[in-house]
Amino acid sequence: MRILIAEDERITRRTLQKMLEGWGHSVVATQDGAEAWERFEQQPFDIVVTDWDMPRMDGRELIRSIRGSEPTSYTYLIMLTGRSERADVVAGMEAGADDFLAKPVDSSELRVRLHAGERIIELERQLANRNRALSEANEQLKTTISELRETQAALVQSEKMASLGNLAAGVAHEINNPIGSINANSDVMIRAIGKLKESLEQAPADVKDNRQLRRSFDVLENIGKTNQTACDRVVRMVQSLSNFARLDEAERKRVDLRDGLESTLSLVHHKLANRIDVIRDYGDLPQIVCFPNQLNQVFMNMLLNAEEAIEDKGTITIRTRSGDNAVKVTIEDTGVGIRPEHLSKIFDPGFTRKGVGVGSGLGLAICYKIVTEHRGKIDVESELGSGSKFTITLPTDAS
Amino acid sequence: MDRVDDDIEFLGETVTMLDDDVPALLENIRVAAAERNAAALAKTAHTLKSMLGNFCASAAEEAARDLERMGRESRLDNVDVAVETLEYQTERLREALHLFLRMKNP
Repeated sequence: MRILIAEDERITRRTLQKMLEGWGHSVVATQDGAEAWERFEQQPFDIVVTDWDMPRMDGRELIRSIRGSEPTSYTYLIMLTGRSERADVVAGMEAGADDFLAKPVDSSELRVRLHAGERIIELERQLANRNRALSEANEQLKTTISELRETQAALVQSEKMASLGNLAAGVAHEINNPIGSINANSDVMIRAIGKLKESLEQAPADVKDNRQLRRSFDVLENIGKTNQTACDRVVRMVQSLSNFARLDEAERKRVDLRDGLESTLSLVHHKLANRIDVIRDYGDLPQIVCFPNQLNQVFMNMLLNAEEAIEDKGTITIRTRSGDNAVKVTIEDTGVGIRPEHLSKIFDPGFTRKGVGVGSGLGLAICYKIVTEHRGKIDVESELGSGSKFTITLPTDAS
Repeated sequence: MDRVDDDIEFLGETVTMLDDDVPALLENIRVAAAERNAAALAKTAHTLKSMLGNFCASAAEEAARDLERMGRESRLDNVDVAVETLEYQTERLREALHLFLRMKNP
């Protein structure tokens, strides 16, 4: 044990030093509290034996200084006192001393007090180790909970996608037939009107020149064509919804990412129209093997973020490029941008700039997870007030 | 001797310290008593008491304790007698210690 003695009376100091060194301890003997504190600050001791009345710094102040210094391990403090000085003992224990020893020091008594001190130090060491282990376990638990939240969010999102896929499949099934009928009927109606108009040319003059009748045929013909256009839009919408969810493609598939971008754009079209210009700068892309429904979620998230970042009017530019066995999809907006201090946090689960109760703060975390699971990466560049650019890079064998 | 594990050499070392330090401490006590400086008397008597305690010198230690108490309580009526008693007991102790050392280490 490393033991520090603080005692101004040199015979007592020397006697203590001789006893302690005789038992194999490493001893530093100092002649007052100030010198003892200086040595303690240089390197803490296991045990400190200190007198009470000393010049410069007394025992009470030394004990308080040591207790206030929070050394890495516990220091056992023994106070030396005269046999009649009970008040000093109380004051010393109150200041933080662990034990006291009456002068003149009896070697047997000192030895048992040291043993008690060693036991306390060992218990304190074990306690510190347990606290450290507990703290580490707590940190691990925090990480696990964070991962669990992320996984749960991804699962919820995946469930949502599955529900959307089911819904899309159901809607497609239920809508396609009646739409087909309407579409076919419209076609028949247009052709029938065409024939009626031909017949009208052969009709007597009073019928043929009936402006009311002719206008009615034109109106009917237009209605038929409008119906066909509307039917085409419904069919395309249902197809986009199906493509986006890609329920039938929950497994890996070789796809062209531009198809996913287009399907996603058609789903967010209503949010962008009349406010945001979308520039498609599509370079050639090789097809890549991936989970298309997951990557569509990434595109959806990024497009919606871009849309929200643009406060009034603006532009979203989508670029696709390929090379070096990788494909890149860049989604750039002219929105408000991201604060530099937030850039390193935007992919953390729970981070949100949308305010409490608005965003879940999980969108970009999920994007990050999906892209890294495809062995890809997301780079972000942003300038406050000018906009942000997210670049998704995926290996061509991303599966 | 028990306290120093019968180490005569170490006892000699501490007696030398006693010889070195006692005259100055006694002189300080005498001055404090003459000046009726109770605080200085208590402090110096306390130091000397601790020192004498190491030699299990009950009479000398008791004389120092009396003086310390007088100083602390500022009761200095009999201080001169007490100082003389302390000087006498301390001298007796030193003589006894030297005699013991000569006997053990002729």
